[in-house]
Amino acid sequence: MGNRTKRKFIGGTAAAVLAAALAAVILLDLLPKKTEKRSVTAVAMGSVLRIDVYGGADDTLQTAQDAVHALDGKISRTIDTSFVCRINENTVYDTDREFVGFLQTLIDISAVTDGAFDITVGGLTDLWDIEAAQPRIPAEKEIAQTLSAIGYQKIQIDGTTVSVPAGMLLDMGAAGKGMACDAIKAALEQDKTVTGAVAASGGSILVYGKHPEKKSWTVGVRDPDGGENDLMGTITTAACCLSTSGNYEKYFILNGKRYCHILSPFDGYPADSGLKSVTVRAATGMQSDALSTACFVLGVGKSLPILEKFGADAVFVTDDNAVHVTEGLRRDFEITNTAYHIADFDL
Amino acid sequence: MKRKIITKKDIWIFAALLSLAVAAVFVPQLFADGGRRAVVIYNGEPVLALELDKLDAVKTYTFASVEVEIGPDGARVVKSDCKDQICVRSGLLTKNGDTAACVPEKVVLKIVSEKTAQDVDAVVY
Repeated sequence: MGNRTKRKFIGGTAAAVLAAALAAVILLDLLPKKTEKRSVTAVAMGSVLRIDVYGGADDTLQTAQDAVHALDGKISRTIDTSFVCRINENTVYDTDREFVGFLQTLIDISAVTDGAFDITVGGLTDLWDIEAAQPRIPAEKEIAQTLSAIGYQKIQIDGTTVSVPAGMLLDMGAAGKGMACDAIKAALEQDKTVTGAVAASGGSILVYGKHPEKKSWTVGVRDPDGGENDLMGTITTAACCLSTSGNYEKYFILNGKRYCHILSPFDGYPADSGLKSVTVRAATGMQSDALSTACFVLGVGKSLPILEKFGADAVFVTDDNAVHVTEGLRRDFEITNTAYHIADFDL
Repeated sequence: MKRKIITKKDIWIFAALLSLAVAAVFVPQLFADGGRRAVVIYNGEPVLALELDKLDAVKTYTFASVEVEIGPDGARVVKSDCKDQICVRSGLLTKNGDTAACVPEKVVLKIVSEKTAQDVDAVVY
């Protein structure tokens, strides 16, 4: 090889190395960056709490977890010192501003749903006791008597003092896990270095901020007829809260009929509106959780105007495996299980 | 004769280097943390993590009244004194994200892996 050829070869090789290095740098930049992830799995609010946080300070995860326990301490029906238990026990109790804020918002949701979601169903929940070792169908007389104590309109708020009629039992369980998502979100918002997060309080989901791989968040929707780990579809979404109410979560079967844990405040029986499940996407967890309960009680047709009022969307799965998806979710929802089919809203 | 700035040989070298650069970026990702791990969380604390692919037999562990079996094919809760037995009914956990939780006993059994066919960030139920 002559000198000129050698120089040419070295020059060409140097250019090639530079080009390759440049290409690698560009590729690396295009690839998602690994953001530091912190996770915690714990038991809170009677179910599993999972929080994954991307970025953020060391103590943010703990702060978020503490926020859920603090909320539980106020709204739980199993913690004797909670405001809910105190009110149920004494009919009058001085709470705090935060609790009254929750209560007022839940009463508002109860009103918009015409009582399909009602936080005064505690007596009915106790009467049915779906999770009992040997559950039973209560007598009609018992149900009628219990229904007479239900009615969100009868709750009175004076400053931070809450009073309810004797016999009325508050139960925020139908919104509690969503409210836990809101508590986590509020904690994460205090740390501006958090880039994104996913939290699951039982089956209620919070997706927050940006996905670490610079794509949309993907949330699986559980197959109502499948096992705990089977999906019927997926929702790709930006930051939001998602909750599902389904007839598969807690139920008992008697004489071939399934009695699920979602009770209708209208007739006092387990809701039977032709749905296996309804998943709601909303701005807050309280809304997604409470609205999913209301939609499950009301069925597809009556739910649509309510969802619209909250700017929320939903995926309804009917008893015959038809899937109704509201406008805002049609692009984001995908069926992944061939047992189900998309249907329109011509009901 | 006109001098060529880049010769055929240079193009080959460039292509080879580019391939190496691409491989250096993508290959580690293909194999990164592909192994499935069974993780047990008890009282809110991770107390056990086993890589399934490295197991050659099923092993049994007990946390409170919850008996857990972990083997190369997956993990399951085989026994619990809890009332509802939801954890036991969860069956064999094999995929990333599969979870069996015994809330009364505060035990969570979970499969964790970076690689999954059904790549979702969370499951709403």
